[in-house]
Amino acid sequence: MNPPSADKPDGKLAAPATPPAEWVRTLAAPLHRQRWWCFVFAALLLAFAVFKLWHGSWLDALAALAGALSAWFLYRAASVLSAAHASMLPADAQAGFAALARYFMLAAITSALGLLLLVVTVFAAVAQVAHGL
Amino acid sequence: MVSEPAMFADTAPAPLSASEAAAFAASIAPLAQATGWMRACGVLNGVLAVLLAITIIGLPFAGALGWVAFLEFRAASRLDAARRRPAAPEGLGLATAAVNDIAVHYIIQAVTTLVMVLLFLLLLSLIAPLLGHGSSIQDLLRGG
Repeated sequence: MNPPSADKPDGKLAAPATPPAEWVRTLAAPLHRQRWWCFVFAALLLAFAVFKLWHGSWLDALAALAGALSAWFLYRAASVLSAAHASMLPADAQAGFAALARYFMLAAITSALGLLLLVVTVFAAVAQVAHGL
Repeated sequence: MVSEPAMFADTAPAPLSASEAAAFAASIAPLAQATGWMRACGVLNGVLAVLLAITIIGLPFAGALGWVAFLEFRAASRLDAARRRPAAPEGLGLATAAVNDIAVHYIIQAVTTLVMVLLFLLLLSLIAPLLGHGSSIQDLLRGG
């Protein structure tokens, strides 16, 4: 992140990092307060990923990989934003939100793969029943 | 308990200086650029909620997932609005309310997933003996 004062007209060098600010604490407070729920959910996502990997097909393995990565980014987002709540550094908040953004991307991919797996399973079951008839 | 999002807007501090507003905009930028993914999560959770609702037994879980989808959409809209107005108090209030929505959505997802896992294990332990797999959940999970 470029510090906002980087292009000062007086030619002085900008500060190397944006100083701590109270608004960072305000912004990070909700996720800092609920960080343990985030850790619990990340642990559950990881457990599901391990279960899927154990379960079988390559589609399961792909979903497991996306699930495990999303669990990591959620853990990182919650811990970094919790650190930002203490340090009040905008750079920490930015790093936390970047991890959260990656979590949402991977969560969408995991959910889409999960739905695809569900559709494949249902179609396979219907086909098996139709074949039996 | 989690406070109401409106509280953040009401208690937002005085307007930020130009440099602070720029730092604030840069801080929320990674998440504000991912609102498309947040809405995609909302749509997928909504679809899953409809599928669960069809099974009738899954209705309580469908309600929870529908709520999660709503919170994801609301957080995305608030972040988009905050990105357009980075100067406080509106921008900071909206972004904090969006972060609060995201925190609440994790609580619901964690509780729902925990309950679903416990119910799943309970169901397996009940049907395992009926299917002739002894009482071993592990055997049933491995497919007998």
